Amino acid sequence: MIKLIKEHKHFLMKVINFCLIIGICIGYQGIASVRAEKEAEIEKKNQQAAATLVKWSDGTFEGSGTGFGGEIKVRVTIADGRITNIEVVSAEQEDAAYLDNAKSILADMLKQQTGDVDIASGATYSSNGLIEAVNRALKEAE
Amino acid sequence: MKARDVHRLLRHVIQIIFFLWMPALYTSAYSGIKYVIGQIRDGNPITMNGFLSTFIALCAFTILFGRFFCGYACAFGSLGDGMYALSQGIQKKITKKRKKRISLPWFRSEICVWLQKTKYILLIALIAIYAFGLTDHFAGTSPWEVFSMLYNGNFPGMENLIGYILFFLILIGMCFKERFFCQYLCPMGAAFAWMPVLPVSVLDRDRERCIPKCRACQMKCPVDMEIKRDQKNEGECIHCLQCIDVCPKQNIHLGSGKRFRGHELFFVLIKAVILILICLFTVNM
Repeated sequence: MIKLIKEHKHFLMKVINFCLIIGICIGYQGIASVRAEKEAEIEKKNQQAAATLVKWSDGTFEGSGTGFGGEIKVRVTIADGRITNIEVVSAEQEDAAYLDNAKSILADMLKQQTGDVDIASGATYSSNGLIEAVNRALKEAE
Repeated sequence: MKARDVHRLLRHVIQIIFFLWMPALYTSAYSGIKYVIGQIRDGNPITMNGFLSTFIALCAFTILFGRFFCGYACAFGSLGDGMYALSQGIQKKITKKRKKRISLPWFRSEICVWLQKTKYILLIALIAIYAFGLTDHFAGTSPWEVFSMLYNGNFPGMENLIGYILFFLILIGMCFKERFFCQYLCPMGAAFAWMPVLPVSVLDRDRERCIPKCRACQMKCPVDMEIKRDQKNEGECIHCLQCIDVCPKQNIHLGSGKRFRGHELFFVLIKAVILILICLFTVNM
């Protein structure tokens, strides 16, 4: 037995390497498909929320959405029927780096005067959560 | 006709068939690697596509039968064999003296074996480029792209200048060293060489029965491989089987045992048919 292992030492090492790579790919695949599913769900919700968008009345409005780890709360200020300010009130479960990346879309929202903007790449969940929260707040303003 | 000539003829026929029929197999398989890395980079799930299925099919084939694909079916490898044969033919016309003909290695075979590691470094570097999303910075540098465009009768523009230069340099290398690109530079070959080839499909020899100090097989081998039972460097073998024909004692056989010695032709045919079936299957999928 030991002789056999010794004789096929190089073969066995390659088998182990090969299995490791396959294992990593399968593991990644599992995580990625769960993420993709979640993403599709969130997107669907956001679209439903966005479907009923009309003119806004002045004031400050709060809304919340689901980010990666949990609830994200935002406060939207409307003046003269326009979005003048958006701030994140709370996002306790969000990873700081991701949230920071996602906040870049708030500027786009102010520019385009809508909650439906392109997400920040690399921070899909946090972005989607922000979009959802802003859209909810804007709905309050209707 | 000697057995050696039959083997060589069969190999060239198979190479020509694949060169004309499936010239893009190696690039599509390589694109499989590129695709997987790209998907992981973007965080997207990996879904089956043409590239990936070609890559998986060829890897599975390599695990079962060794790098038969490299030796018999890869268009770029066949191009290398063609260039080498051409250069040797021309040099034969110019000088009768064997010593005067130019051919690598000018180095000793140990150095050549060491140089073969370059392709692994290259593969890792390319994977790193894809993983960090730097692909756009290296647009137009691929010699493979230039070759496939030329093959299809297009002349790629000057944005491919670096690709042209690399392709030209590789062609020159191919003239002076058999399988120059395959053994030193091919990233796809590096991936195949990592595959655990089943021990029954690996070449073996009875060292005790060899003529003392005889290195005929290693001298003949295009990739300077020393056939050892422990299969060290086995990944370099492209199954051209020239060693079997050159051995004065007919001492080299497939790992499946001496029973089938002398029937290598039969095995080559079977492998070629299986590879053709695999190609048909993956293309139609």
